[in-house]
Amino acid sequence: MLRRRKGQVEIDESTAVAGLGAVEAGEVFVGKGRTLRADAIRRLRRNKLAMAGLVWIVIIILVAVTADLWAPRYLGDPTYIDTSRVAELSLQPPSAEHPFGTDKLGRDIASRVVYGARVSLLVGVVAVFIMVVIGLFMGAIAAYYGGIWDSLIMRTADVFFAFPYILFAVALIAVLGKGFQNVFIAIGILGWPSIARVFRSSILSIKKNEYVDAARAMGASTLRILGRHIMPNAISPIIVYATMSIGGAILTEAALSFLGMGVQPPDPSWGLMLSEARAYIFTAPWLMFYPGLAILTTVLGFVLLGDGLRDALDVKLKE
Amino acid sequence: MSPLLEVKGLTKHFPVSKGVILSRLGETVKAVDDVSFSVEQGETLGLVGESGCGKSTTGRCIIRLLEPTAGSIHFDGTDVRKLRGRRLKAFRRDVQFIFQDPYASLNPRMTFGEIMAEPLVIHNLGTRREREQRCKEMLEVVGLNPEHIHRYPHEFSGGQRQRVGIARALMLRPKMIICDEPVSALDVSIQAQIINLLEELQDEFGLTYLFIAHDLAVIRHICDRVAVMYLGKVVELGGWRQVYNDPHHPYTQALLSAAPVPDPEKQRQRNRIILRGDVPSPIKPPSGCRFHTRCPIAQFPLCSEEEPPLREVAKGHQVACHFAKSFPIPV
Repeated sequence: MLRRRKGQVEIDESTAVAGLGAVEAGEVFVGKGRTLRADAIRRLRRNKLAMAGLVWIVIIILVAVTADLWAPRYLGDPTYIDTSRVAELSLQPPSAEHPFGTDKLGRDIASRVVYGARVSLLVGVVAVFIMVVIGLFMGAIAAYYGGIWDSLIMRTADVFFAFPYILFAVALIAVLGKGFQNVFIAIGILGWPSIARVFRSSILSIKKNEYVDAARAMGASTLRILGRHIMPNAISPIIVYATMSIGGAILTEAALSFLGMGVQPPDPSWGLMLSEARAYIFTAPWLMFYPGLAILTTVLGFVLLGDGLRDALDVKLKE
Repeated sequence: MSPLLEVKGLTKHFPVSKGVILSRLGETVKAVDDVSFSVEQGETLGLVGESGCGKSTTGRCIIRLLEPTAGSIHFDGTDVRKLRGRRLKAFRRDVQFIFQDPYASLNPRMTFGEIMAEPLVIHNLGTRREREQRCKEMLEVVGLNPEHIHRYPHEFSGGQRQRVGIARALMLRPKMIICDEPVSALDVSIQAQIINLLEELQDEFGLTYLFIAHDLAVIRHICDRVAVMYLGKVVELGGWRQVYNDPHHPYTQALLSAAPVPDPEKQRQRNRIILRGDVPSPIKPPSGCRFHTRCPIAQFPLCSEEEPPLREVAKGHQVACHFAKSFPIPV
């Protein structure tokens, strides 16, 4: 069916519009066209890398959500330290009992990686949500009101870009206090300028399209123009950018935890685990390997998915 | 009977801002400067000129996509510039616009049906079912398959999309349609089809057109009267026969001589008037007659000091030139 449709999409102009009132002859299929969303999903499903990213993300989410049901029982408690047996359990290499090995305090690394996924995903989603909300708001104001508001918001964004990112995050957390929630806030506050920029330029380029003028000329209200014409066309770069930003936020959380500014011990976080593993990189490399691998694959998953979404959401792209 | 559309002294200046941080205002682009014309019920007035001469700006000012700087616009007896809110919306029902670029004028995320039903939705006309019915009928009127209402613009060619743009303009049964270069983005073979369609629709629905174009052949084909614009001014206005067969203004003569003639024999024998130089900047238009910097018959200092008014040279034929027809053009 797809093939058949594809053929008749490119109807030759000369036969299609041979004269007034002429209806294309020889057209086999006429019924409903596919919706744009179905089109996008189909394009996404064809992109193998993006699908691999999506599958991996879904697996991580499932693992993180269901962790309480199985991880403590089969792998061990991620935070409990059995003080009487620390020496015996400490720094064991991967085995059947501890598939990823154990850390210095005898805790199961697999269990800590699983619980670390909760932190990473939560940070990724919440921080990106914060930055998207602020960014969309700022970008829309800048693009819509223009003039002094535009200058004000965009110059503020430039100031944010001028600071080294991690340094700024560390400074912010130093002010807000160490801890998990403040990582959200720091990443959200630092991330909004890029979203605002992307959204602003996207609105500005959409606004120039004649279909916006057309809607205005037929008497559409501002609300309708924004909701029906500008937003649906301006939002897809944001979806793409936000997806990729989740990967970035996970990295930032890892970096902050590594520096001791994020998640505090004994709670597990991939970045924190890397930090704790520093001393054993040669003697017990599995301490570093598994959390590192988790960060790498998860971030990669989000970036690949974002990349696939970019192509999938482009209306004009034909197969 | 008073004309359907009467434009008097229409002026549109765009401020030019310079500098990134502190924008300095002051200079303006004089896109349209004191333009007057009228369009009678049922006729087609062509607005012709080079790119950047202000013809599109004129069209956009009339439907209030742009706010004019000065001048008056009367449509069907009402002062368009004073309209607000509900009455502006009512006016927008009567005057529709066809855009130049069929790739930019249709929202890529809406189906043809949604695009065409939008004017009805905005003006709250009909039920869902009735609107769908109207869309199907209208698609048939413009020569497309009525089943296409569920399809998206990217599935179609430029000519087919432009037909949808035309169908959208017709949905509200307007009295007048402003066509802003409706065929210049299309292949030549499609242009003729669209022009014929517009003519047939004019007869069928009793439409009045303001037809903006830079293509003289297109204008000649469809227009009853022609206004020639240069740098934001109307330089010649008259019936198409008067303007094409007996052009008075040296700019009109140059334009006509630049249009190719299908017969190569005649083309070789023709006198071409080649204008020297570029169109001056509309930020600082030349003093006096705006055309004097490129005019082959300009007399100084008169032409550079005094602006020639539009004066009648024959019935319904106006020209803004001090020396129109009184000098033969040196070749």
